[in-house]
Amino acid sequence: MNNHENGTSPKNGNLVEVKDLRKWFPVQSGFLERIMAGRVDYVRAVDDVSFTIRRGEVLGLAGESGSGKTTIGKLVIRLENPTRGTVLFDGIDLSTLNSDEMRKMRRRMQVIFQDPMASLNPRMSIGEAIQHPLQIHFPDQSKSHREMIYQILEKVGLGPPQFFYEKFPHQISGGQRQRVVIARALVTQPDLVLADEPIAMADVSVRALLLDLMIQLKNEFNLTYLFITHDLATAKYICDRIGILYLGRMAEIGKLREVYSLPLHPYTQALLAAVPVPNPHERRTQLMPSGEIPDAINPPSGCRFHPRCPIAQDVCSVDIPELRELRSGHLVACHFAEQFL
Amino acid sequence: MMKEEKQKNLVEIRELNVVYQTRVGPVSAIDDISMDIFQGEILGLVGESGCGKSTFGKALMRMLPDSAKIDGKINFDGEDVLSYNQEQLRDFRGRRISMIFQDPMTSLNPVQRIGDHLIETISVHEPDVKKKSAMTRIRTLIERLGIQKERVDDYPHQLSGGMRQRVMIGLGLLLNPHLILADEATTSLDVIVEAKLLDQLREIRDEFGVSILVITHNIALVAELADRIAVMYAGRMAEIGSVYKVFDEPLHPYTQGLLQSVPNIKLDERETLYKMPGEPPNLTFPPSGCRFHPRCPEALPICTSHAPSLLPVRENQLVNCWLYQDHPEKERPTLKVAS
Repeated sequence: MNNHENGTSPKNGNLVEVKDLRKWFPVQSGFLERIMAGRVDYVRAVDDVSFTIRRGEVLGLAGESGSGKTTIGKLVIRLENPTRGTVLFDGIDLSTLNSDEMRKMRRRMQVIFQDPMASLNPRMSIGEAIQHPLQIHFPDQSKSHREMIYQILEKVGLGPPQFFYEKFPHQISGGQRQRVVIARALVTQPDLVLADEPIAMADVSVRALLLDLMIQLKNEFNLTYLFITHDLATAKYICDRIGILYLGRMAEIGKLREVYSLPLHPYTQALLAAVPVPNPHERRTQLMPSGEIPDAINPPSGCRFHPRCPIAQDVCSVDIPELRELRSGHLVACHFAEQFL
Repeated sequence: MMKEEKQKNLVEIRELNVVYQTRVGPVSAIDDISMDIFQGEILGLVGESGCGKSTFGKALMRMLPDSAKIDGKINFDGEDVLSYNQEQLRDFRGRRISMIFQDPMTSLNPVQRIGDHLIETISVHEPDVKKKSAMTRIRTLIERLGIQKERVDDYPHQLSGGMRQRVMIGLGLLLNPHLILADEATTSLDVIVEAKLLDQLREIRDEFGVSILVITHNIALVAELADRIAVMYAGRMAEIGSVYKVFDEPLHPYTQGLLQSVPNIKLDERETLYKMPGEPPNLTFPPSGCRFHPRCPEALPICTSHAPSLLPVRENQLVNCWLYQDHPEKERPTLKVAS
């Protein structure tokens, strides 16, 4: 089971390689409507997105609602099947695995969602909740399950573990619940953790502790995170690289510090400027882009940001910009990004 | 920005207490809060979940459930809101104080035209006004908010999200209230939409001179928008002051920790967030004395037994902390803060 770990496979150090990933959801419509229109409409949630996640890094995916960030996360761990494109996990094309092989693979990819209360069964004690994945992935080691659960509870800062083992979700605080969800994700010793807005529900004073815990656990267990968030300020404290999504497409991707210090896509520039800064001396002066995020059923032609873009020209409504590497490891999908260099 | 010399109080809150009766016992959600809201100011009320900030907003509007016991004084424009009967309350809400809600799609009726929403507001509060003159008023207001006046005949789904949010603001402004309450009005919005809404709130304050109370957990948003910030902790007001004073030099240890744990997108800012120990208390069994003392790095012996009061420490900054107040157990004189 461990033959893929410790960097034995892919030579290039990539744990995940996503290539031309596409997910179109058919729009529910009536039979008659379909006949009349002669076609089915699709919500183009994810459209030809490619990126890699290196072993041991934290890749952030950020964007507004409807940007496709959550769908990409689900596609990466195959909670959804792509319409097109491939996901290589540790060099293995996930679409070639049958359900039995996929279930085994799932031990290596775990997930932390936003709302811990919704992620935990209210009628299962903390111990039972964490034991559940162990029963699925390590059924023959049932004697040592309790020991494993105690260990992981201590690692996430829920000690004494005997005390928390017996508790039910409603008996502990929100911050502690999210620690339980983290413990449950890590107890199977995964390689990749998909964290979809993992701390968005937590209070400010608790967030810093949870972020710190996630970083500490990543270093201790050699984890790789795919960190999905709409909160660009929080991303700064955990992500090594960040991808900015707009309407199902990757607008820009690169090292977080480089993207934040020199954003090359006009959308990234607007997004970063829109985030309020906790300093009244640094209030925003930039104007925000006009209009709103268009409909993903009929997205704009060419560059999807062109109707709102301050530097758009005729070509932008015709040609789809490719992701181009304008600086080392910093890619941007804009025809005219050179002017910002 | 506001001139700080001639500030008149719009709302004066004195010794306000709100206690919810629950099965597990009384929950003291607001504990002895006294403060003022100035005319024409944007006041940002921040705090973590369960600190009582929404209860505070509801108490101002007298919209608390029957299980809540409220006492103290709320003087609004010189009138005692807590003594209002039902009829006075109906007139008070909408005309003097109004509210902007979070989600315009669930707050607007999908089968009612935009104009009808607005007409209804007028006809309830001002039954004598003719429909025609009401429509004229509505069209003028809508245009001032940047929506074409023809759109009053549209249904909510025909408008964009930003326009719907502006209709919500229009509903709040229609009767020229003196105070607008925005309780987490931007929380579910995307950052760019939120930034535009903040611009609009600032514009309506500048144009209509209305006071705005923004209740939020987003501290950066208050720095961006507000004139003053009020920080609540566990049902009490920890610190109130001008945003410049409080963000530059917070005085209450809770405010200090809180501001240091707010993520900042600027790259040159400190790289780690302050990790405040513990979690906010359960208000069924609040800590004795100062409610922050179990998490406070500077707690004194007196903090565990006696609660301090919210007192001015320097100009435009009030702090609820023994560090800045004299008390019998004090060994050293009270810390003097350079102004």
